[in-house]
Amino acid sequence: MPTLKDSLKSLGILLAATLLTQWFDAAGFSDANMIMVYLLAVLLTAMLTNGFLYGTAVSLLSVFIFNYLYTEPRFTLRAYDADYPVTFLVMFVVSLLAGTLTIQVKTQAKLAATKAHHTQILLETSQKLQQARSETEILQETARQLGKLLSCSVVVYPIHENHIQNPFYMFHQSLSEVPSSLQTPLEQEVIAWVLEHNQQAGKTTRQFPLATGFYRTVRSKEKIFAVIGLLLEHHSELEPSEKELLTATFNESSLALEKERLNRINTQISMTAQQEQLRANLLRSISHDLRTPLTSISGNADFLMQQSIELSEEQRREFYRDIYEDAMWLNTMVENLLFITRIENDTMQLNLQPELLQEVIEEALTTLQRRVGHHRIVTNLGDEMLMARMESRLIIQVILNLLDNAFKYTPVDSCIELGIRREGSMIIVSVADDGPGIDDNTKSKLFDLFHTGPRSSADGRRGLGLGLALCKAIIHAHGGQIQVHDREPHGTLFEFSLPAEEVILRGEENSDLGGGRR
Amino acid sequence: MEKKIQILVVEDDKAIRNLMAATLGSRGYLYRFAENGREALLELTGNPPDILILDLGLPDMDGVEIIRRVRTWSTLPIIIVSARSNDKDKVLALDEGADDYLTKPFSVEELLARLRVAWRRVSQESNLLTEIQSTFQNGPLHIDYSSRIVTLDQQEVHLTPIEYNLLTLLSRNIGKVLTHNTILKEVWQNYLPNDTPSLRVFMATLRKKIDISPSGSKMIQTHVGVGYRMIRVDDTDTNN
Repeated sequence: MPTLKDSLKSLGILLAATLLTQWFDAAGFSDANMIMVYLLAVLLTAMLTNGFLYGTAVSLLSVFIFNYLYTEPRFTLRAYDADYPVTFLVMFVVSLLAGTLTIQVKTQAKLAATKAHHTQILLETSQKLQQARSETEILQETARQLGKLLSCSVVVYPIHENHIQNPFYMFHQSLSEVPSSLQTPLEQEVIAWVLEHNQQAGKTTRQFPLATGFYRTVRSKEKIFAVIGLLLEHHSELEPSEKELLTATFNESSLALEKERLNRINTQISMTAQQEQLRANLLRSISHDLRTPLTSISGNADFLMQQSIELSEEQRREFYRDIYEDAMWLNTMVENLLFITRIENDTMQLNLQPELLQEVIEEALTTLQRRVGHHRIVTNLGDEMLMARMESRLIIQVILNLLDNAFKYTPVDSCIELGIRREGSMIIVSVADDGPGIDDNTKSKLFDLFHTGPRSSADGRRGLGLGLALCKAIIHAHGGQIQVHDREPHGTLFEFSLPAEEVILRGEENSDLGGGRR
Repeated sequence: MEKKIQILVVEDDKAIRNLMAATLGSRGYLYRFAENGREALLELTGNPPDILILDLGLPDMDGVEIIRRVRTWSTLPIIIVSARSNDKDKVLALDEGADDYLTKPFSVEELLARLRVAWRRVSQESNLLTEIQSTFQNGPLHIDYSSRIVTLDQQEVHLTPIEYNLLTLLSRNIGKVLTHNTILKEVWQNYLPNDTPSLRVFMATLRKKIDISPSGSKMIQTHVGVGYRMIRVDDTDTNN
């Protein structure tokens, strides 16, 4: 295509050559020098312009200008000397050949540059794809590289279990919003066809050539990952090299996706193995630790059933109490285990209801009444009504576990303070004791599953190491935090937070109108 | 007790039946057992008891189904004793018409207390048949329904309309656990799910005004996650 810029360039070069030859002429140089100048002009034109046209035109014009200006009779297109027609012909052919050669060299240089560029993009693609961490990242990177490669916008339709998901776009330059031409039924049809037949289709192909985009799947042997569409605005056809690159990029991308998929499966397998390990530990721990209270219950009951043994009323009472306490302990453990399995099975779907913290704590204390023993409990519930969304049974269990721990790990006559307060958008529940405290090493492992306190093995006080791990899981599921701190001069403070619920009262305004007694 | 109270216990576990027998027998109640839903329905229709103690997990049918059927013809008090400790299960049973809910393992004292509450309700209702009550007395609390005046130890208590409606609803259903939904339906005419916080708050303020009796006993019990119940003050006294 002739362009104004190239034409002006050619004319400029021709003018410069003519001015130079004028000067040569005035200086009395020979014709041969002038011919050389014109040849130079043709070479320059071929180098600086695109296509054969300008070189050819400049060589033809050079011949005419030379003829017109410098051959006798001057300023005519005739030549007296019989040599001149040969000179003109040779001059024309030489200039034409030189021009053509130049253009070829230039084309090859350009090709080499494109190839280098493509190789670079491919290299970059493979590097970027290797760095990508997830399926989405890989697809995004693929789209970005394809866009660079073909200078076009790219749309990616991820495929999940053979269903087309919401697309994402990688816009190229001018485009900043999704063109409506991509959302026509035709495009959807092409995408469906591509997905079904696993062949490329759309613009530049035989299938659906009228579509706006060119579509192709990214797939491994087992799985189709996505359909990628290229918005080829400036292409009516893809060059063979572009096709090759396209194939290479798609292959690279599917390799990366497959690798990522296998990795994911492996991680899952190892996670399942880990969970099974955890479950095995749990079972072992349970069967071991539950046997102790069961032994005590059955043993005590057995003892009481023996008619032959004389027992004082006080001794009997003691046996009864032990049975009762062990049974209650077992009950707590069963509750905790139930919750743990709920969390483990990922069925932690909370049934959240707004509850008044004061009521929840009162309920926990009522449940606890029989277990308080020789500890004192001080409550500081404040006057402000504090409300939070929660599954009350779970939060009660958290409070019970914290109090249970406080009883278990502090000496008799210790004082346990239970308080609630509001801090910004959170409600803080605190359980503080004035016991010996917890050392830092233990603190760091406190909320781990199966961690049991130091005294548990020494004096036979039991625990499965479930309680605090469960507290943490429950509080986190509620969107809160649980922490442990030291108290001065000694003691431990457990605090957990729950997002506060704003109380909006409704009812009084309409109750006077229609809300009368029924 | 002039009349022996008849109790039907529906329970499939033998050990629990033994426990029930010991507990009920020790307090002079007359009791019968049914081991499954079919037997229970036969007993209930053939020889209706005064109070029904029902386990939800029965071999042949769900206990909730029994509540549903019984409620088509009878208002006898139903106390659920179940290992299902989920709030949802409790609410379902209560909404279907159960009066009270105890979770296994339960304490014997607790069961007896609930039975007393249920019995009070029956005896009160038989009074109701003869005369429609226009006043209500529970310990220091007195409500005059016709003039809408509430007094506590002869001192008038000022209640907002919602608080008054809550109080009358609770007093008319004394002894019965009312679920949040039931209360919302009765007191808030066109209630929204997000009225639940309001219910909690109004109930808390109502309790502050009513439950200030010096003995520390509480007329209004909170069943967190389930609902509320008013109890006879002297019921709790005999507990201790």
